[in-house]
Amino acid sequence: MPNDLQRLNIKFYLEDETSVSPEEVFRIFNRWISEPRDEVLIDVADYTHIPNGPQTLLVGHESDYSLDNTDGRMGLRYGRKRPVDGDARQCLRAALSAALNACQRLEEAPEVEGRAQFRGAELQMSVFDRLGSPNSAQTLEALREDLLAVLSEIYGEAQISLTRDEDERQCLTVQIQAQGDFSVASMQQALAA
Amino acid sequence: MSGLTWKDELGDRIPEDLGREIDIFETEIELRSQDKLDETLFAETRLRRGVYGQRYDNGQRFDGTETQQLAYPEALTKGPNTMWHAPGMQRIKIPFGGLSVEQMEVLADLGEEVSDSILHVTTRQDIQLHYVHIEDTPDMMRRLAAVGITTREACGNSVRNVTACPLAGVCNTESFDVTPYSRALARFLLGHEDMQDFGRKFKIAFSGCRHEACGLTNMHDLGALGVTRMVDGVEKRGFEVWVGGGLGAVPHQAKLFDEFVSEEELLPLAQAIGRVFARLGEKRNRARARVKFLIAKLGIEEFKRLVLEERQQLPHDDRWTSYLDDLDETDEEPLKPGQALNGADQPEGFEAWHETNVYRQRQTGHVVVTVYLPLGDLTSNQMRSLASISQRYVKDTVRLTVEQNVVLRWISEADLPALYSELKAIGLGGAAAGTIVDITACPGTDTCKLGISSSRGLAGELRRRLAERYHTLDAAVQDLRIKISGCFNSCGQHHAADIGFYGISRKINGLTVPHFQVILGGRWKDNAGSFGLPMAAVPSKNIPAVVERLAERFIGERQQAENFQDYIGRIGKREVKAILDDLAQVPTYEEDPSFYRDWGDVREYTIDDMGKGECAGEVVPLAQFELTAAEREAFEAQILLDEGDAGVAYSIACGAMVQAARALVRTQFLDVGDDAERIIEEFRTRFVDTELFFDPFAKDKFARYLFRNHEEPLTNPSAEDAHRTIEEAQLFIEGAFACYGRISDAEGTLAGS
Ligand code: HEM
Ligand code: SF4
Repeated sequence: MPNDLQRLNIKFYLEDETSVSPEEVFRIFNRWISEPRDEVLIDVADYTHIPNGPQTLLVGHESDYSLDNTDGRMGLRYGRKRPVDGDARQCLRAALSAALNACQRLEEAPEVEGRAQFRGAELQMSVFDRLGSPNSAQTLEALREDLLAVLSEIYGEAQISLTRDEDERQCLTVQIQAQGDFSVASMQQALAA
Repeated sequence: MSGLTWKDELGDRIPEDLGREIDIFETEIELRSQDKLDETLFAETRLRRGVYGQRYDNGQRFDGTETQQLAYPEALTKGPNTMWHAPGMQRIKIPFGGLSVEQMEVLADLGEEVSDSILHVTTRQDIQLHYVHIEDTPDMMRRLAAVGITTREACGNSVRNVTACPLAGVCNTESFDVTPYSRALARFLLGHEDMQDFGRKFKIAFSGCRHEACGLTNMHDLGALGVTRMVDGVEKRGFEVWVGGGLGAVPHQAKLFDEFVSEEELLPLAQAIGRVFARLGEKRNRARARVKFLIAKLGIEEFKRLVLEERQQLPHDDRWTSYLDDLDETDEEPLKPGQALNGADQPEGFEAWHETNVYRQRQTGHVVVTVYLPLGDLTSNQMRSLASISQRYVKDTVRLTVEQNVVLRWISEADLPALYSELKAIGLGGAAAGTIVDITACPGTDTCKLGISSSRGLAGELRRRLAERYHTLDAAVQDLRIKISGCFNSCGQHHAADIGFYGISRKINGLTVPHFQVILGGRWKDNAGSFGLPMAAVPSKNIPAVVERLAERFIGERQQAENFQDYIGRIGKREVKAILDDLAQVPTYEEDPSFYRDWGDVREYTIDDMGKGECAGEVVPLAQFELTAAEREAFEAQILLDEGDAGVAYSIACGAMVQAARALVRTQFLDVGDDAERIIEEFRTRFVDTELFFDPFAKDKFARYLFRNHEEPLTNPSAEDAHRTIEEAQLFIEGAFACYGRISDAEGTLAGS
């Protein structure tokens, strides 16, 4: 039975914003369509004519991936679209894991020769579902325990701050910052453990 | 799970009738998902609600090397060859392009929640969302309905969005504000029982004056141009009504139906036209089902007689005139009083922006600002910010334009510098609206199933190049309009541009190469006053050079204030062709592989994503040669038409079709000879009956041009008849090229197996 935490988006930021261009990612995403891993990937869209938004979008059936600049900072965004079963923790884990896998796949893509590196200590979580998860302090409160539980899997004992975007017209968006350095690979391992 | 639904949440904010409609649709989705509703029926019902298919929804995509199967979770379909889970396009009707702040906010939210955070403005003042899942559509429709927007009849064989000049009500040249009339007609016809049995779509546009381009009434099934007339010493409002216009593969200029239809008669007349169209319009052959074909068949006089007869029989309906009491409902008021600019500080870039993006309203002190959207796209965040800007500078006075932009009306001039800075901050401060940089493009191969070449890829490339050089361009070049369609269907309105392009493909040395037909001589002004004609097929990669060369020659050779159409007319088509000749050549793959990929794509080019045709047969290399000769003949016909010889132009165009048919027949039967009758018979049995000639979507549409022109030749063709026949010949020849391409592919496959 789908729970309330649907359309979950997770974004990790590039260490160096210019390390990989939308054109390169466009090529890489195209290749991913031909080499899918347990999911249906459909098409790639180029939106580089718009400054702050998805720059290159990989459209999938269950989820989308994009090199994203919506908040003015370049990163890789994972966005779940189709309903997921499980409780909030399971949804959060699944989304985090999918986002990290995509980051790792991009870091390792031969086309970028290791130039693309993600900063693990910061991430953005947003929920594109104004009905199920309205952008309010209450929603975040209700989610806090589950969210911190899942975050502690990747960040261990590190101190974590959660900052909610208070513009109520935006969907629920939380900026998450952990103290310390975290690599994509280490976080992935931690999550898999 | 809380069980909260949008239906409960929105409650009675959803108008009852729309709510019921949406509930029915939701049930149909449920039934289809259980395979309890036929797929074709379901397709029709979803199309009527603006729920379109999208490229790759047949479950296949060419990845540059081979066609990949997209492994959707179930085999269920939402229409023939359309996978249930494949993302689709949602068209959202915005009558006369008018948007309120609240509507903009909901659109922004939906863009994020059900689409890819991008909203696309179309060439008919609609909004489109892409990559939408069918199961997300009912709630999306409810949220739209709650703010007064419907997607009903946004597609399908119905009355499509009613468009109108985006300047209506504030324009300096209009007779009166056509907004309330367009709104009334849109409301009256929405879901009207007389408008449900069409063989094809029906498009309506309103314009406030004759000479500007805004309304494009000439290319609509029904165009209403606001005019006034003195009746018994009192000024009466009415409409000059035009019918049977339309773009599409073969464009038709609208015909004058009546010079003055009073405001009281407008709605009943539209209803009567709808009834006649439903009764007599073609139903089986989609390719000839638009009103334009009915009028061509009956003649305008007979059509008019039938409509007026129908009008007399219509049972009275109060709605015909009741809206006249509420004409002022759409009147707008400024948020702030109009104040002059008065030497206020100007941010960087302001002057250039002011020059192209600001229009002085009829009302002193107020201006209309055009927000230029590259490729008609904006993000959800940009839409939300625009809503907030509108709220602070104007009221609900925002409109979408057919040039795929947004306009903010009733801006006080004194606010312009601050407004400009705010637009710039959200990435919407682009100058050069309405210039050569502001290119119109249909979705093309990006998302449209029928796309042949990448209209958006090309538009993006041209825009980048032209924007860089904009300030160095001569003013006459800056003013040119470019419009691009991804195929012959002309959704990008390429006929009504100074320079138009539509996507085609050509087989070169066994490989398929993306091309565009170059269309010149069209006219955007005068409500799309004339339509351009094809000049040359040029590989996509050379199109930027085409624009550059035409612009240079125009500036170098233009006489005094000669405009582009006059210049092209003066130098003549032969010369234009000569200018473009070398650009039509395609280097071999080894010399330049980039020609074998389309703009904005990294894959090797293919037309396989459109769907497969059935092919067999032998190929002789002669075919390509003979088809090119046929194309040359069609071009010759254009020249003769320009020289005023419609009769000869017409017969040469017909001859060119026969010649192209012969080229195909000769791939199987070399000795077919020269007799037209024999060629056509052989062509029919070998290529049409076998469906070898069938385009994946247009089917035998183009073959019918050949048959009709042969079976019912015109004895005394007018210039318009000749013009149309040349277009038909061009399309038939294009179809023959494509068929030849498919045959060679099949042969390649045989040879390889
Ligand atoms: C699945 C995608 C689409 C299909 C199958 C399609 C089909 C067609 C066809 C067959 C025509 C020619 C109609 C005729 O005159 O007989 C046409 C015309 C047109 N379409 Fe589309 N179209 C598609 C997408 C679009 C989109 C996305 C837009 C808007 C951006 C659009 C806007 C138009 C316009 C403006 C015309 C010109 C016709 C007129 O105004 O007379 N279409 N389309
Ligand atoms: S012109 Fe062709 S490619 Fe473009 S939207 Fe229309 S049907 Fe699609």
